[in-house]
Amino acid sequence: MKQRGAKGLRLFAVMSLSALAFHLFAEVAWAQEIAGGRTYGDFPIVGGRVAVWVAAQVHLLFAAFVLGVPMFAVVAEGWGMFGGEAKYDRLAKEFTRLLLVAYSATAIWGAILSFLLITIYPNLWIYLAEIFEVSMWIYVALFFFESFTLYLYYYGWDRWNRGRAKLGHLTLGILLNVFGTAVMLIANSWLTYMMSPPADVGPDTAPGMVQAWSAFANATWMPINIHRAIANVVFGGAIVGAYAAYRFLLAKTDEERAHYDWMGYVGNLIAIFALLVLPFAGYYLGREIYEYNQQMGITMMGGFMSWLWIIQAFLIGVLFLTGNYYLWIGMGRIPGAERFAPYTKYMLVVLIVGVIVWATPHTMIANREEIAAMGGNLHPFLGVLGVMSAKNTAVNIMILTTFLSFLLYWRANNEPTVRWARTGTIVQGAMFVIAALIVVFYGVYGYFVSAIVRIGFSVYQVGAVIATIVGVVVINVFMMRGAKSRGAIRWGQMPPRSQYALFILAVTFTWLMGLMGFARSGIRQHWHVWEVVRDTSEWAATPALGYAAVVISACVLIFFVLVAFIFWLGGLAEKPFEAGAGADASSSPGGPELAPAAGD
Amino acid sequence: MSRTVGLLASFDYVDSAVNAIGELRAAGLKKITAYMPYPDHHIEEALGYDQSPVRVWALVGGLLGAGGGFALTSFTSMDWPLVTGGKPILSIPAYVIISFEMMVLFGVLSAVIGFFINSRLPYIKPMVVYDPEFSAGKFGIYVTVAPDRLDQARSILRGQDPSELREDPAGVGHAPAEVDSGFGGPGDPVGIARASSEFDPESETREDLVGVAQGPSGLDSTSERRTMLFENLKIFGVVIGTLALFTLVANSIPQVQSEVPLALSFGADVSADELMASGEILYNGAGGCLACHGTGTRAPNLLTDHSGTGVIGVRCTNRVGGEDCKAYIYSSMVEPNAYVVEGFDPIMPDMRRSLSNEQIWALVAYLQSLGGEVTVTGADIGASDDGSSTTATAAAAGAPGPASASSDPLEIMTANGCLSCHELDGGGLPMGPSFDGIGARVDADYIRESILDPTAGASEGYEDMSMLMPALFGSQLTAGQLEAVVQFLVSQR
Repeated sequence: MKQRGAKGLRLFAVMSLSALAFHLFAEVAWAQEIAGGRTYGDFPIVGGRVAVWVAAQVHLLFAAFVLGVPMFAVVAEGWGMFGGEAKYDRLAKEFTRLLLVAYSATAIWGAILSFLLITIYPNLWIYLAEIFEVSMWIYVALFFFESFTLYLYYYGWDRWNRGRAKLGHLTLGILLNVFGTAVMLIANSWLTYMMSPPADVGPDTAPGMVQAWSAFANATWMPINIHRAIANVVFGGAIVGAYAAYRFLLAKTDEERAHYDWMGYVGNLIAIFALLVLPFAGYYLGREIYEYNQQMGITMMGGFMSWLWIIQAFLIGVLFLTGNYYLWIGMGRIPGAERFAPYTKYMLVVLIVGVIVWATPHTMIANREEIAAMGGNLHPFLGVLGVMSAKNTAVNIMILTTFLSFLLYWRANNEPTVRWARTGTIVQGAMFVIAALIVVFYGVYGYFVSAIVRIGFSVYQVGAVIATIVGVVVINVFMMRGAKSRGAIRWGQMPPRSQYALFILAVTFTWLMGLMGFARSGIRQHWHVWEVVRDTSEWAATPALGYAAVVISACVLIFFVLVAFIFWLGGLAEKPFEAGAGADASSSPGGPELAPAAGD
Repeated sequence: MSRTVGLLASFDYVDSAVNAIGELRAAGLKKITAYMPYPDHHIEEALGYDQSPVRVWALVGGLLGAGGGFALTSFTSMDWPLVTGGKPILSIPAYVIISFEMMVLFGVLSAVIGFFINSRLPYIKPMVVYDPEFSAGKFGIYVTVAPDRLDQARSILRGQDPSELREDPAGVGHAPAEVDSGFGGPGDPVGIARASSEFDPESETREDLVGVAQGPSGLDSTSERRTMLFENLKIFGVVIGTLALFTLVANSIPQVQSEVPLALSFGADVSADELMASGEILYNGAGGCLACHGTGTRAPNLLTDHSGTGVIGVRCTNRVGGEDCKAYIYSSMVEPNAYVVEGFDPIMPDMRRSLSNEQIWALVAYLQSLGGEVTVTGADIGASDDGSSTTATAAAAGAPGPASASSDPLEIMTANGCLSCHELDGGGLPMGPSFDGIGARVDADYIRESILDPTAGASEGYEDMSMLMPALFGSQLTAGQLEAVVQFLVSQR
């Protein structure tokens, strides 16, 4: 009880400080102006920009975690509640326990960020506060409600665990997500305004004259909302996977190993599935940036940031390969999966070729000497591979391959008993082949048409892939009804390297978030607010990727050190693991799967 | 594809495992995989292993490295011949060091690669049969046999008193650190399950396949702590390694920084060379021109020929009838949609949004210089400076709104648009109280309050107009500027 009180008091103190920061910043900064007015503050050793950068990035990583995890905590609780499987409820509670400390860390880093911005960028603060003051007050209020909903949700878990009370508890979880999402939407409006202020706002427009709603719902607000919501799920899944891997590696009993093996599987499954959708949200965001300002879009994709996408392709390649690798190793614990083992090497080849094509540079800015050295605007060899036709084809084939990996995993220990099983399998195979042919056809055809027509082809390619994923899943769900099991999944029988794969996934996702944050913020170049408020500080120049990579790595390291501490706390807080409390290593046919391989 | 069955035996002693392998091989059962907690040559010998082929890899790599070193040094000497101290161009003794270093480098690399290839690492295929105890003290023998020889194999293995004997119906077991007899192994065709998945009755000596080695009773608290520490260090190593890899990759690509356009200030007598030099820096850097004009796919490449019309300094004279080169390039930057080149989309922004008048003219001069004559002069800059370049005046100091560093009250009032509504010395409009003689009508406090809060105590006759005055000068002016304006107005008597 004492512990709970202390934790609550600490969080309340942090929240109060944050709220105080929001209310006082204008006065502090204004006082600076009156006092003779420095435009920018400084920070020892690393400088003001890096200080704010690190604070913002680490805050965002924690924020993504505390937004992503509740989403599937609620889904898992609901699954356990309506599906009657208690292990899902335990899983959801374990997720939520991690949230409590992570939430405090989010608030602390939010306060650090606020104070750094107030002291280092006072004029920008004044400007933004004048436009967004109302939304800032609402933000604080929502933050308050979110905190207490989280407390109720976690501490009420065991008390409200039956009948209507359980339903009420689930509602609390949904409410927690609603508050969290609303907080994210508000914060997104501030940062997207800096990227894409309304067109009628110029350098001469006084902040008091900017219409609040047009500033709030600016051009890139909704695309960022969608992109971040999905990315948060991916990130949450990856971090939960890393947590499960950590506990797996340090487990002392078979029951523990089985439980955390299963948890890691669930986290990875969620992360990979959400990841498959993320590129489409990314395309939407990119399109809106181009719609808003061609120059900004070109700076992002073909200007000084063009190499960033090569690094992104490398990271995505690591994600695809590691995610598939984990699935393939995981098939080792599924009786019957060995019949699919020979196919993994072909899938590996397809993925590697896809990554190579995707990571091929194309439209690089070049000066006169470089153009002369290349013999033209495009590289004579890479120019062919690096165009969007080839890249779209590669990424869609990679998505199809990953989905195929998952399908094999799903079907590994199930033997369908429906009469149309063979026909269904043939139809599924045909759907894969047709989708691949459509993707390749439009990829090749894209070389023979103009750019504007070629862009339209990506819709057909994506449509074919999504249709195949949906169609195959639907067929499989019906085909696996009443399926015979080839034996119980041997949860916990995973080699340690599979768990390191989960760590690599989590680190890569986190680094990728840092990189994309740099891209989003960096395309403003030397503007605090794009073409409205110019950055005249000594750090106005947007740094090169190498420098950014060092800062991103530092942010990720700070985040993981803190997360490791949270994991350790998570272990301290729990009771000793009771035999049989985890997933049953030799449970009913199909094992404790989330959905696939459940034999339903 | 033949149907096979696997048998997995676990032994406490290496001798038992060695004997079992020998007997199995003697019986003609040669698809054997051995698992060891540490490398043991007895098992390798029992499996019939010959000498490691890694040494051949090292030899070939070393020879290739040495040969490559000689080839490289010889080629570079011949490609760029420099006579040094009268010695021949191909001077072998000087190449020995490089060749030796290359031999060591390639020999080592080749040995490492050979090690991985011969060890069949990394192991990607799923493990079907494995027991963690094989890494914790026990020895495992996995043999795949045809169903009709199952009893024979089982009998041989039982004869060596295994702690566990298990049947694997699929017959496809593999291990990551596999040592096989050279006849079977991961590359072999995968067998198909034929029987039930029940354990062999013999396996009753063991409760489960996994986890016993690390069970609570297996380790004391000190070794447990050591294990945990080691595991934590490994995890930390994975995280650091991944971060280091990403950082290294990001640092190994071309490093391009987005620069801030430098403020330019030219006098009336500015030279063409000065303009050109500034323009070139802008064009290749902070001006952001290369993002589109450097690739030639989004916009015409200005540095190279376009459709046979020459580089920009040449083709600009013929692009639009009646406009000379200078006028055409300038118009293209401030009214980019007026002259969109055929085949390209109208995506160019009005450069006055991001560049000052001086910067735009510097760019014009640079582009003219690419194949043409520079005709831009200081007079052009002065004549076209109508203040429409927003970056020249506004938002220049990171401060919101029209900030000006000036302390001159008249300049401050002009920059902030005060004379748009107030009259002074025959200028301005009579929408608000005139500034003429204002010092005789009100005091400094009143003026200061009216500037900061226009609705407080509006002047008689201007009550309705006071709503039009924005309440933003408190945040736009510095305290010094505000006071300068107030004192100036007080002095107007």
